Amino acid sequence: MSKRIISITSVILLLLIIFPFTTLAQNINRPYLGLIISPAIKEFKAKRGETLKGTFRVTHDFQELNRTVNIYPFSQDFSSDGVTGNPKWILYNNALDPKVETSMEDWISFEKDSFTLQNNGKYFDFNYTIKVPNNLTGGTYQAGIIFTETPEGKASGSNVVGINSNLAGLIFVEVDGSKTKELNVEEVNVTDINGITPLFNLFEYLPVNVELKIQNNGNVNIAPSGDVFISTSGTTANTPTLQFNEEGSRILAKSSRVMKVTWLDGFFTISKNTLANDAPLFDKIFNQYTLNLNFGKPFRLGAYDINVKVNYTDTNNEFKSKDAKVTIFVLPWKMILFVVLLIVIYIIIRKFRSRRKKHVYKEYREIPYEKKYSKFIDE
Amino acid sequence: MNLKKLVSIGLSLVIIVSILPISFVKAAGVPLIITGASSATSTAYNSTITFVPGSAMSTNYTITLYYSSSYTDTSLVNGNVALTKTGDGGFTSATTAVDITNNLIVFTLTTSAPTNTTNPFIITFSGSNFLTPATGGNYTFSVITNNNSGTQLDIGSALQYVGNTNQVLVTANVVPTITFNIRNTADNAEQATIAGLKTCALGNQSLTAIATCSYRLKVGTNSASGYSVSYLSSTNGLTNGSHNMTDAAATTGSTPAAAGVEQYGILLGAGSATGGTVTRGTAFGGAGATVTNIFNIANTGSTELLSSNGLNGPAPTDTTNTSLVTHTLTINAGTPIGAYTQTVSYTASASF
Repeated sequence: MSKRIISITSVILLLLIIFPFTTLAQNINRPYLGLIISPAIKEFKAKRGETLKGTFRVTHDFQELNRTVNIYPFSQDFSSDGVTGNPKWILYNNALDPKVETSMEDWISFEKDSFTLQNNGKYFDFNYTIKVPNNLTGGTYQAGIIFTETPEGKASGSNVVGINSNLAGLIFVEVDGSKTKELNVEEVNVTDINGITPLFNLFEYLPVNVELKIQNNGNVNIAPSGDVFISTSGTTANTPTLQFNEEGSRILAKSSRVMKVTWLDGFFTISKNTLANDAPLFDKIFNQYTLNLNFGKPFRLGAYDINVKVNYTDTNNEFKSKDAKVTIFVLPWKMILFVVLLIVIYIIIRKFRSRRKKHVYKEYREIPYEKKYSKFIDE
Repeated sequence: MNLKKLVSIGLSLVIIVSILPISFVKAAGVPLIITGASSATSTAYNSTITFVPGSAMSTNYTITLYYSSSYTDTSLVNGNVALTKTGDGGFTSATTAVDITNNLIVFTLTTSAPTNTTNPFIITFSGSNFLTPATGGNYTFSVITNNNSGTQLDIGSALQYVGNTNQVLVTANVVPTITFNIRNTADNAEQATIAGLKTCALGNQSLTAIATCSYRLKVGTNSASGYSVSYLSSTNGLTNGSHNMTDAAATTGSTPAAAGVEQYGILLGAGSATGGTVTRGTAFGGAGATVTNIFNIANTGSTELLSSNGLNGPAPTDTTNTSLVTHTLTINAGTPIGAYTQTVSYTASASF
């Protein structure tokens, strides 16, 4: 009897121990995001000679709940690639290589060279210090702190590719001093759905992408804002005004960036179809795009002026604006040609049939009376 | 005898049951509804108070409204308060008598017939002579109705919430975050590792087969400007130390070579982002390239692989909002033997 009681109690205890954990594991719908850091971007304003302190909160969401992860941080300079807002990481071949003008990697120091993340959900506040040198001109300087699991990771084995995953937090420091802020709109490009500028800026359908290449000539990062005014026949009454850079993206000091706004507000628009790799050749040729009819939207046809106004504030917080203009034409010429072609074919067929009828009628008229009605005459 | 008892008890019960509801109606608590039940402090009380009476009322019956002494009523006059009863033909009018000393208002009814118990009485305040209290809190309005003998008929009360003392400000701060993981092709497990390093094994090579291995780059961010991923190769492609596999073309890419032709590179399925568009880096064909083209992955300098112009929140198993990298290798008869390796470091960050 006592054995039975012990057995039952053991089973109950086992269930009690296991059940909560299994329930928990099922309920948590984790996205398995791997390494996580916040903030993604950190900005400081500093005086020359000042020491700044900051923190990245680091945690992990690897599939294995109880995994402990060793993290090795290091700082690295980055710059703009002149087109996008993606950091271009800079590797110096040796310590004597000259640093880029906005270099900051040597200003950053850490309390620890490495740290360990405990199981999922536990975080580590990684503290760093930035010592801003005294002998600087003003402006924005930048670097990233990169967190990696495998700092010296090298693939081992046969025919194996080793994969390191690094996650970077970006840091910008705007240093007091002689600061300049100046933007120029270098180029306004208009492109179609494939990113191609058509001949004579002649578009068949919307969307039309307005791509602004903006140059920051100053030594401070600028996040410009502005509007793209679209007008036709001198009026903006039935055309939209588009805002650009609503997300507040930056143009780094002494670099350029292309910012894009898409005009998609028309009765006819086209969208790209996603085709499978093994899609039939017919689809690959004729089914790449879908023509959308947007009822209630205006029919876009003719010449349109695109006026761009790029706004920013200078170092005195005074409002500045730069303008640019381009003219485009919207005409679904292939569709018009197709319709014209159909009409021409129809007319040709009509004419041909009319001639044929006339010819038959003429032939019929030329048949002698006796021959035409011979049957009745015989009777 | 028993029958008599039963009849007596039954009759008593009938009498009690028939009386009880009437007594309850007479003593009814009627619900009071205040429009603008929540109000700012020291503002004009331009609200209405309504209630459906539980008892019929006739001429000279009264309705008394009691309010808190915390309300500012120094300028309140009879003309600022009115009582109506829409939809009841028995109701004719009501006179208003404001008593600011005792913080009450008495309405005396004139009726053509007893009022019904379906249409509500409506007490309306107008003007700006009656102000809510200066101090936030919950304040009571009560209504008592009496017949012309002073007998109480209905009673009801309701609260007006003044100020924000009964409000809870809920705040939450979502910090900008970026995440990065390298997952297997199906995104249902972490990519396999050798000695702690995630790996992609191409296996033993054959002259008659194309060797491939793949994994997913899973980036998540709530940064409105999106994210980017760049790569860096430790070596000039796949190498055994003395021989580098022939790299696929960069920038434009090409159709992967057939088995028997030496070529090494990657096929990139850029994937999507939940809140943006994913674009391949220019070294991987840019916007026009397709997943079927093979590209060089041998740059020993930082090279952009792909980027998104908006946020991304991938699901636990997500083969849509993640990017698929497939390493592809073919060899020819002259490819030197050896253990070939390459280490590729991916760096993910928010776009600025």
